[in-house]
Amino acid sequence: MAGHDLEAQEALARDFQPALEGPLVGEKKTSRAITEEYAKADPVYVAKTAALPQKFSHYRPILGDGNCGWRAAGFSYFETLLRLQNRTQLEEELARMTSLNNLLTTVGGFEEWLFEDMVTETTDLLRDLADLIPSSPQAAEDLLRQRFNNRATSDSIVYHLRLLASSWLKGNRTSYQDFIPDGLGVEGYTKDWIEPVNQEIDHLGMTLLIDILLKPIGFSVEIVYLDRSEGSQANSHIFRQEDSNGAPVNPGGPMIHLLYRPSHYDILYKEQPPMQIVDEVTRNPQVNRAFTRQISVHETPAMMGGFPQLDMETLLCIPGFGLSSPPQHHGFHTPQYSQRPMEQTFNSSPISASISPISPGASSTASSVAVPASFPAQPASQPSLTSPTLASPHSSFPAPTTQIPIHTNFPPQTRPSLSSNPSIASHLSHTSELSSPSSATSSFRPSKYEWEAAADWQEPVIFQTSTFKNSHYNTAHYNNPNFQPEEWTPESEEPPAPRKRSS
Amino acid sequence: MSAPNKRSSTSSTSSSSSRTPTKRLLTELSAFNSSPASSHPTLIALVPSPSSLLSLRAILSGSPLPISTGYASGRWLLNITIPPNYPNSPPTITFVTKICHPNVKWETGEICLDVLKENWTPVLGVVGALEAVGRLLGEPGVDSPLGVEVASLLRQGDTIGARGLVGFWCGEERFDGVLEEGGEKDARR
Repeated sequence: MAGHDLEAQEALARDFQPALEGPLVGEKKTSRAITEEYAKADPVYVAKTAALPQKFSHYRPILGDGNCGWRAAGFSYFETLLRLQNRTQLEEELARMTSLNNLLTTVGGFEEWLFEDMVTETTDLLRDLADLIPSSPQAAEDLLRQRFNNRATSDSIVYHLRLLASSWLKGNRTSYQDFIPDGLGVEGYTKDWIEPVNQEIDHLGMTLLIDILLKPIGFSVEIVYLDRSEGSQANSHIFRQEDSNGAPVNPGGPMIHLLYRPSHYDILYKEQPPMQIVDEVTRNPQVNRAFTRQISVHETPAMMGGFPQLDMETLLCIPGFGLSSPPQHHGFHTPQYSQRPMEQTFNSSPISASISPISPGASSTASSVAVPASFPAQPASQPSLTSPTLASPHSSFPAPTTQIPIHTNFPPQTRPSLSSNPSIASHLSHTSELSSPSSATSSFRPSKYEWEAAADWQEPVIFQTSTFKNSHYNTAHYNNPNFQPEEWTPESEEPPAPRKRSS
Repeated sequence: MSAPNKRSSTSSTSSSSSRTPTKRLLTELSAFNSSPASSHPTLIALVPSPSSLLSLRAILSGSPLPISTGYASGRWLLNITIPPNYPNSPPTITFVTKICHPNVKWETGEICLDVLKENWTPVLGVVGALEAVGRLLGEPGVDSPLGVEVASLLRQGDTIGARGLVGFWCGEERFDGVLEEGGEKDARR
């Protein structure tokens, strides 16, 4: 490595200061804030942080007081339990946490007086959340944030987690002892690295915590490592329960995302519709498709006119599905995607425009609104939503534009597609995963893997249509909440060529 | 004067946030009183002050320490202050009886010990922390001394001189009182 690279790295390490003021667990923020934070940093960081918001729309900063990793994992544990909205599971966790006291005394060797106060904080919180979740999930979330920002409560829960990790290590010496640094031995390691308060979590500690707290209930954890290693994207590692063949035991289970920067952890979020609904759609794609077909046969302009505005907007969120009767009318449960600001999901929209079979007639009205504005970034539900009937002559509906709030309306032939977008086209030539013919040309039922590949694009997708550029969905538009002026880069004018490093 | 904005007393019932270290301290004290003396050799007494449980007094005895350390003849009174967020923060322990030790400040009795500062773990408890202080007497660290004179003797390799100095002050300052609920009695007066 060249000398100045090392210097730059050292300077970054010196300058990086996790926030020491403010709440222990911060509010959710758009992950573009991370990109902006690193805008002037080393090019590796710039590239990696620029790619980050495409995968994770939001992040939650955690105070860097030496407990951030423990606190981030602990908060995510409770938050994910809340997200599942399952009172029974919260009560099961309450029972599990109480029964783990046994592990703390027998295996961990801790006296009961030592941990009972801390365990009480954890179990109290679980109980209070279980009581709140059926009536008011919002109040439960507020309570969780409030408890985790109360220093005494928060630290007690964190210390409970430390004791759990320590006991788990003592009970599973053979599995972990090779990972203990510096020949400390199990006792020395727990004493020096896990049990002191404010001792930040190391990799083994995180592994232990995940193994005792999250894996047994089927939660998996993805840790995104934002460091200076080679590559244009942050590396990530997924911790989950796996069977002997290495296949995940609970593939559809909830996943927690953590962002690791040297010696600091924050929480990352992917915006996605509630999990249960996704599972339902994934299991029954055929049934759903049959239903959409049926809907399109039945629908008449009169029916559509009778529905309130709100339902129409919900449907507009589904690409290629501009018009049909509201799902509840047919007793069919359709995911209700909420409309989101486009900057959270815009990365996946161009591919949806190019691979969903949208007839010219329909796309000029419906999809042009729905696709950039909000597209569910959920690959699994796609097969059910691209109704083949819409590509047929059925799509010549009476002009519905009067009922639909259209903000933008760009012509179908200028829709961004894989081949017309130079940034993606150049990427295509480098990556094999996107060069399969199905993703670029054949346009029906993209597989899950294509969607993942689409989400992995290294650079932000640039919308090419003039209508889009002039709309406030464009981040370069002054009305965009995430306004960022465009910069002229000479390289982008030239045909992409493999870059060579002169150094 | 207008009536002050009176907080309703119900606000203090908000469950967990108002928890104090008192309960845990009481448990620790009763565990200490019922445990055999061999489990805490140097610590011979630990008693809360009459006014507040968050302030305690303790007596350390040097008799279990090797003669070669120079501390075997010592007996010291210590003051323990429990912070409100105990056990997440360590107790503050100071020597009331003067002690000549590389890691104790002569004037204030302040102790420099990692487990009482950045390496504190709630696992220790007050008794464990006092035992750690007792062990520190036998294993002085001379690298970042608070007691400069004796540390410089040790660093020069003058162990005999250091032992003599330590032993002199142990005899001179020895605390011969006993601790009872309600205060200590100093046998010398």
